[in-house]
Amino acid sequence: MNRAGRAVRFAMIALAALVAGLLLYRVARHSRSDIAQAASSTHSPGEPDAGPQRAGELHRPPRAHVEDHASPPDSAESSLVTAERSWQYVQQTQRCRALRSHEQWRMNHEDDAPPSPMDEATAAVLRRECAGFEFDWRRAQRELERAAALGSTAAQRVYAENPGLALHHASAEAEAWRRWRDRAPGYLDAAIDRGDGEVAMLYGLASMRNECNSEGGMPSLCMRTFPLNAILARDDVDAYAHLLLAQQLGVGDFTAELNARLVALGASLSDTQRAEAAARAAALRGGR
Amino acid sequence: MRRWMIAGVAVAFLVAAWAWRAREDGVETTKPAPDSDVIGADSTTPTASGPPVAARSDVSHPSASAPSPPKSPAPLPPEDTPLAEAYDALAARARGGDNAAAMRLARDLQRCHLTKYSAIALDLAVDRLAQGKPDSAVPRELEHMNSRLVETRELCDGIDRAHVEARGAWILLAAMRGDAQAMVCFAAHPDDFGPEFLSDAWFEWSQRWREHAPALVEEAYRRGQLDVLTLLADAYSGESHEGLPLAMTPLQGLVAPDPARAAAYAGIARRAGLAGDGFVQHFRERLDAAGLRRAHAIIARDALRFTSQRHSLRSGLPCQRTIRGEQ
Repeated sequence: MNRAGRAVRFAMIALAALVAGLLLYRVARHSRSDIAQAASSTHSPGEPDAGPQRAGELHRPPRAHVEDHASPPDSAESSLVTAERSWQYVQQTQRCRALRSHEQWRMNHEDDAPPSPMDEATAAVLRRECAGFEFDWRRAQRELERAAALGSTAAQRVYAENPGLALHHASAEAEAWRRWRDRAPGYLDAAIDRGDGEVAMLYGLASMRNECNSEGGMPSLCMRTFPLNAILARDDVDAYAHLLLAQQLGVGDFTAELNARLVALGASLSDTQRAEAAARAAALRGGR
Repeated sequence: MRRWMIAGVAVAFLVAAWAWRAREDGVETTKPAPDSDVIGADSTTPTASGPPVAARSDVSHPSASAPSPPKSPAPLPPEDTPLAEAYDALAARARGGDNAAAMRLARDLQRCHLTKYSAIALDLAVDRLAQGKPDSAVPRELEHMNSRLVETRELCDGIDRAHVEARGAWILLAAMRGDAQAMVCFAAHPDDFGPEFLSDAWFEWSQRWREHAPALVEEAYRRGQLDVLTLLADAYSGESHEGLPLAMTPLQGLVAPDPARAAAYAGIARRAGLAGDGFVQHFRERLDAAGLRRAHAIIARDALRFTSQRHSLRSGLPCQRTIRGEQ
């Protein structure tokens, strides 16, 4: 082949190589953006997007049934099995934590100290169960979220109250916090719909305009109002309505505290507001 | 002919690799612009009345496209000048490139933010004293708390919540324009200065923090900002207890654990007079021989950046003292 022919052939191959190279690059770029998109997705598999919140509005989504927040399962049965397994891990973590608190109590108190909330028979059983159990709070948090998303009502109740995330790392785990913010109110509503008076009381305390505080030495749920009080709208009438509802549903050991809160909050409301709250409580109860 | 085809395929791969690399370089040097809704068109020219949010300059080179701070900035208003008087002038200076004015605004607005907690603390202290609790504050301490609270209320009178909520934006602005102290404050403690926790604005703020904190903290390190050392040591330690991160900064969640780097930062902190032997030993214990060698190599390479500031720490770390309000 003469020199000119070789040059033409070289030019054609170089052109083809350039086109092929750009094609390869495009393919690679698309696959990379797909990966990035998948990685940046913050939803659980099948989780519906909660949609944007309106700016400036406090972050309570409209009342929704729990099913709206749960992942559509591949099969209802396997989903329940997974939820149950996850929830069992969370419960085991809670039991072993309770045992550890009990053991620490025993170490730190003299014989004449008030008894630990856990009796020795229970502790003996738990010592066997918890032997070799390694605490992994992150895993427990993930399992709790998963069990709740898959429909475990017990997990939903616990998760709604507190997602178990490390507060001092909130900015690094913002998406997990976002999922909790978007799901918790629905889970709370569902628990109240099932007649859970303690959740109704918690909801009411977390919705009060002034921070719930534990004055008077009452056995208080105030400590449990964070982080719920960061996401529920502060509305004393709504708070009073939920406390009234809690009174109707019953709150066991918290009855005295609930009554005291009702008196204190009720005194700050007008007759009209109290009547409105009573109507809301009736409507909430009627929705059950 | 086969030789030509092989050459063609090779060229194709080279072209693809070149294009890929060029794109990656572009990603690294073109940081995503922070949300400009809050601030207006450009962080260097924030809205007339509102606070700034973030600069558009490249984090790796914060001063490259932003106005430099004035060489001899005018003195700031006297301490405790009410913000109702000082805010507009400070904000204008901050927008114009005066990082000291931006940080002063952030600090004063942080004091406003903390007022409600100071009031609660005072109430509790008064109650404890009234109840005769053994560890109560003495009356003189209560008087001091009360007078400080009165001063802060005067400082903040007339300042609305939106301005207080946006206090962190001034820190971010100063950080993006090259203020090393602001870089560390922003990277270390985003939630101390962010908007209301779990609000939409907080999620946006957290997103900006995740985007910018790693580069800012690297830049602060490159510039030898002292208080970045313990921050980095904690963050790179990767330490956790029962699955929960131990570092008190969320930065740990953004960096891959690297115990050798953590030990190196701890070692440099000790040389700079910032940490004691125990702090260093804690990190060294986790290293094998190779890790120790790497830590020593980092110390040898970087320690000189920090030693010149040895004496500036006597009154506490800048961010803690001036922004977080710690005494």
